[in-house]
Amino acid sequence: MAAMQRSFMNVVSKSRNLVGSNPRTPSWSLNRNRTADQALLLATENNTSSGVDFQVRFASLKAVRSRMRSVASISKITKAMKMVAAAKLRGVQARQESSKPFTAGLKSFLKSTFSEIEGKETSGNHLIVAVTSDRGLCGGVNSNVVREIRKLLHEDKQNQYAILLCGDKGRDGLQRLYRNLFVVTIKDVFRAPVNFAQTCVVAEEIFKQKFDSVAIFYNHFKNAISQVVTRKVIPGLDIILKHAETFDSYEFESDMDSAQTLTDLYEFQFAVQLFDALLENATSEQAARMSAMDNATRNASEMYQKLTLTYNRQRQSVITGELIEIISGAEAL
Amino acid sequence: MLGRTAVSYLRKQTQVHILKRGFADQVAQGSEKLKLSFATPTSALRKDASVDMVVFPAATGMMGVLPQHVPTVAQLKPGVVTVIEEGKEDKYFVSSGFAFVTQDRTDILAVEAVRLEDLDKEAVQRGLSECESAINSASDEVSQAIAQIGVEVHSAMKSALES
Repeated sequence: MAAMQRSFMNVVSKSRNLVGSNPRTPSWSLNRNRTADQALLLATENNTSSGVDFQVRFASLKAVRSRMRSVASISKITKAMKMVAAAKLRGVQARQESSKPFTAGLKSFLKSTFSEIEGKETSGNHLIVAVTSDRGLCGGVNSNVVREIRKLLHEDKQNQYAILLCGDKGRDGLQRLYRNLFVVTIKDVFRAPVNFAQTCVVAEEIFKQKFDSVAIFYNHFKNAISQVVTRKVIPGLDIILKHAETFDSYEFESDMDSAQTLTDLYEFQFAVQLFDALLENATSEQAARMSAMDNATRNASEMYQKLTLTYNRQRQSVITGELIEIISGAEAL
Repeated sequence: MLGRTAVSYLRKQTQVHILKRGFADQVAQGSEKLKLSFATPTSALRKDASVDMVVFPAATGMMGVLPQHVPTVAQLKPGVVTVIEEGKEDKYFVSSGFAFVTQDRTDILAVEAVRLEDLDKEAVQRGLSECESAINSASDEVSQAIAQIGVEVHSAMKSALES
């Protein structure tokens, strides 16, 4: 019996958490303008004490029922969102897969050239490109990018930084502290599926800025449940031109002078790398949304079960109370 | 010398001739193949494929690549990429991009590529005349440059279809 009582208390205290709009214990009086949630609180409180009140029980039964309805519809919505995210993930993953040879072809070339230059100059003006999604409800992908950028800006006070935002959600996270560093905000990047032409537009916007190096922050898609924030550093054009000897092992086939060719090559490789980053982030966003919505659906159904339990218990006690009244009334006659 | 085999791409007849006489024999002896990746942002036309030779339109002129070519970076101009694989020729039209020839592999990264036979002759002709009229009516430098590029691409397509 004691164990039962304890577990019941448990359920009650949990259900209070679920309802959880008011931490204050309500006073036991018939407050006319209390909300449905408060009524539920009162009812659950009341159940553990000996007091019996029909009106409150009715109200609370109704409150529990409406609460159950809303939880059920929330779970329907999150389930639908999960399905949508899963379908979108399939699409964007296929896109990413078919673009792999394109981006990978450049990587082997860059490994032997650009990455050597990368470490040589670390001071100067840096441009941070924050790749975030436009829509929320996608787990931690956006806040992870924001946190990484904040950490960098907090630790490194020597260098000049500017922030270019690609996607809407990064702005919300950074504008309180680093609003004065914003240079460009681009939104609706992920509305249409990521494509190369659009990436070139973003890249042109980046080339308009003055910088010694660019750091692209994005989520690398490892698999459907794990996305890793990655910082991709690309040295600026001036630095590349200064260290042009890195390209000596290659012959250049172009009708223009070598500086112009190198600029073209630089812009091309930048666009390809940005394209890769945008695709990775788009895939990560959908994957994170899928698992976030899956969790939400699971939580909602858990909540629904608990509410069902509370509801049935309440109903039972109403019936018991009524029976007692009828019997004792009959006995009194 | 096997290492430096940049050939200028002549007419079709002579090209077959050159292949037969010179390079193809040498390649056959070493039984070596060229590892080629030919990709656009949306698709891979060849992925780590073993081919005999690839010819692409570098900005300086047509350029043929055989195995063990000297490392090269080439800017592409609008033109035809020919992949020669077991005696068969596959032709694609590319708009622009870059080609990277390294010691062990060749990557052609084109912004856009279509099969040559998928090009519509009439549409090309129409596009060409549209771009030509756009040059004349262009008000500022940017739109004139855009029209100029359009003319270049369309006339390259036209000559590719005619050859």
